[in-house]
Amino acid sequence: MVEWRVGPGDRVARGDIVALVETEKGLIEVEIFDSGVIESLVVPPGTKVPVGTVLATIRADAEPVRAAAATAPPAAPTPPMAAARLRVSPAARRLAEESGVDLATVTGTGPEGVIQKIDVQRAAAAPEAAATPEAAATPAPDRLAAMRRVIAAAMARSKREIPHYYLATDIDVSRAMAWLEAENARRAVPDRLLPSVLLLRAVALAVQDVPEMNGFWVDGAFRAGAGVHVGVAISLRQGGLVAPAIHDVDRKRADDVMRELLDLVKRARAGVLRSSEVSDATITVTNLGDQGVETVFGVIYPPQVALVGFGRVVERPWASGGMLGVRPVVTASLSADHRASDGHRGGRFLASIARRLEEPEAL
Amino acid sequence: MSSAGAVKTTYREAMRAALRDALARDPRVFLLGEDVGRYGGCFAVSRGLLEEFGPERIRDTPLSESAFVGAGIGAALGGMRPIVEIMTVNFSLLALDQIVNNAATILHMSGGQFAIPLVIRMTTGAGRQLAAQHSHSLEGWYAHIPGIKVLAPATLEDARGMLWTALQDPDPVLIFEHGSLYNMEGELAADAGAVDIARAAVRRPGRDLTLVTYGGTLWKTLDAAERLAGEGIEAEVIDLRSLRPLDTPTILESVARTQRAVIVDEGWRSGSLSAEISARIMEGAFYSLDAPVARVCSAEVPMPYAKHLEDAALPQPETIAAAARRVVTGRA
Repeated sequence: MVEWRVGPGDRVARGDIVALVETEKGLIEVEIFDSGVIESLVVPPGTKVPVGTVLATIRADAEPVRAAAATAPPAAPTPPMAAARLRVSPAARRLAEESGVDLATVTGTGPEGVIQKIDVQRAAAAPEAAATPEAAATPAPDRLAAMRRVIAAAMARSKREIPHYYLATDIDVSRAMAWLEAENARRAVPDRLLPSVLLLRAVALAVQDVPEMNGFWVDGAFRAGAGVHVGVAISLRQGGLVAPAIHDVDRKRADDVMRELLDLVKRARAGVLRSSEVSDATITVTNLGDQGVETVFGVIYPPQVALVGFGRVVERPWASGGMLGVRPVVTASLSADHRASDGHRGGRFLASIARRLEEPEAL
Repeated sequence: MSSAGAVKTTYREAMRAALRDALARDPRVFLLGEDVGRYGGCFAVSRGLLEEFGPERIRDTPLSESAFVGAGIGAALGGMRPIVEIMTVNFSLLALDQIVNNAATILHMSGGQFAIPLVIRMTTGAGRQLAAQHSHSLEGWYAHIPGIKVLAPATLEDARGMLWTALQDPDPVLIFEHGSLYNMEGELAADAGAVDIARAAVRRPGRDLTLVTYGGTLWKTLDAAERLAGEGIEAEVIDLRSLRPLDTPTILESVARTQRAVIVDEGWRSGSLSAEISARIMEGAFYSLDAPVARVCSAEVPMPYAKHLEDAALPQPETIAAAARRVVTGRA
């Protein structure tokens, strides 16, 4: 827990960012899953807790005393709710809000047990004293090493558990590139689209034809994703990799996807992503064209079941309708989980992507 | 405070030195009031001044507070710098009309044409068995009135130094001298002179609570702070010095550090100056507070004559310390 962005009594709506936590993947902004009023902050800043620990409790609207976890679903014991309003001095209440100390966990030493400023100071100092050395002693190299370990664990698990199959196809993107060129020519510079946006949209829409590419392999069965949230593999300058999701790419306009992509890249490199972005991807796209790579066969990010790779757009001799021409071509590849789908379906999926790139105006 | 240039003196003598200094320095200054001349003042503050400065400048007046305060206002309008002595604040009520309706308003009602550079000194407070018509602390009433300044010198330095600064003020200034202080002895710098009349003073620094007081209760409060220190409670003591205007920033700054405040005021609690100070702390330092603001005031009775009853009616070091303990620890 790095910092709270809300305090007890604050009204929050689903999707609001309530806290900043540091994980091995970097700083993550925690979004809230329910709407209501923050009842108490359970975990003070500077504390290290296991994933799944209740960070805060919120009181849902119209529910006087219900505790809901602000963090991920796993059920951790709910802290006891204060039966009556705590006796807290104004100075203590303010300091608690500022420092994110949950007053329910503070013992008052003032007259009649009132919680005073000094009590909050002690409570705030206690966990920090324990946690600060650890947090402060995590310089960038260590954080990088930690991220490396996370990637290693995920990739090793993927190759250990997921029976990958690989398909690739070359796609003529002349229509897409021409459309993009014309479209960008009439746009102001900040509004111009990158080819990546068309690729992301094509993948998201192709899922409609082959839904078994979009989702997870969990407990011996395929579970379809609740939406089409496309994870975008972003390499970080200092090394390492994250694949945060753009939500509902199938339902968004290209302009919106473009804007979100730029925002995501910027924030990923600044090291501040939101919890839903980090955990929600239902399929991942990796694009190594910038590096001159023509074909990439990626490793699926478990428990997802498919990863689409794009290489560089290159001009190639291209035979079409008995004529030889030069066309811009991109190689699309698919790494898919054979437990969830077969090569036949994978082929259809790549064909669907190719077909959609033929009709760029629909993207 | 003992230095080569310090002299042993009393509050009364310091006041007298201030009067003598003002009379000597400014020919416009003169003193008038009941028995200030031949008798030397009811509290002997002006003893010897008649002989030194003559009957033109040390003027005995009839027993009519309204008349001689009015005369002072007229003299101030005429360019003089009168010092009016009223025997006690209880008797000043006879001059309320002159003070509140004239002295405090003429600058405003003349459209800024006529200032009233008048100083009114009077005795206030109890503790000397002078009973219910000579012992009340009504300075808080005057602190309610816009257009005048209200001072409460509690130390030898302020007794010596406030008068001259008050005389330089273009507006009416009331100086309240607590009757129990006149015999207070101490050392004062031989060259002691004018002091500011705008700011409160921290008379004792402390970290656990702020005791706000003025005038005669300053010494009882310092006594209480000394007892508290023996119990590990470090009280900060603020001497208001000026009751109008109040030096609010000094109070709030202190409370922000200590988180607790007790106001000690010899006036009655209801509608008092202590209520005003308490309200200002709520307005300006609510989020710094660890405990409700507490007050130690006089019992809401006419001041008793009997010694034990008078003592019981007034704030005392024990009651001040008890209030401070309740605020800090919850137990008296």
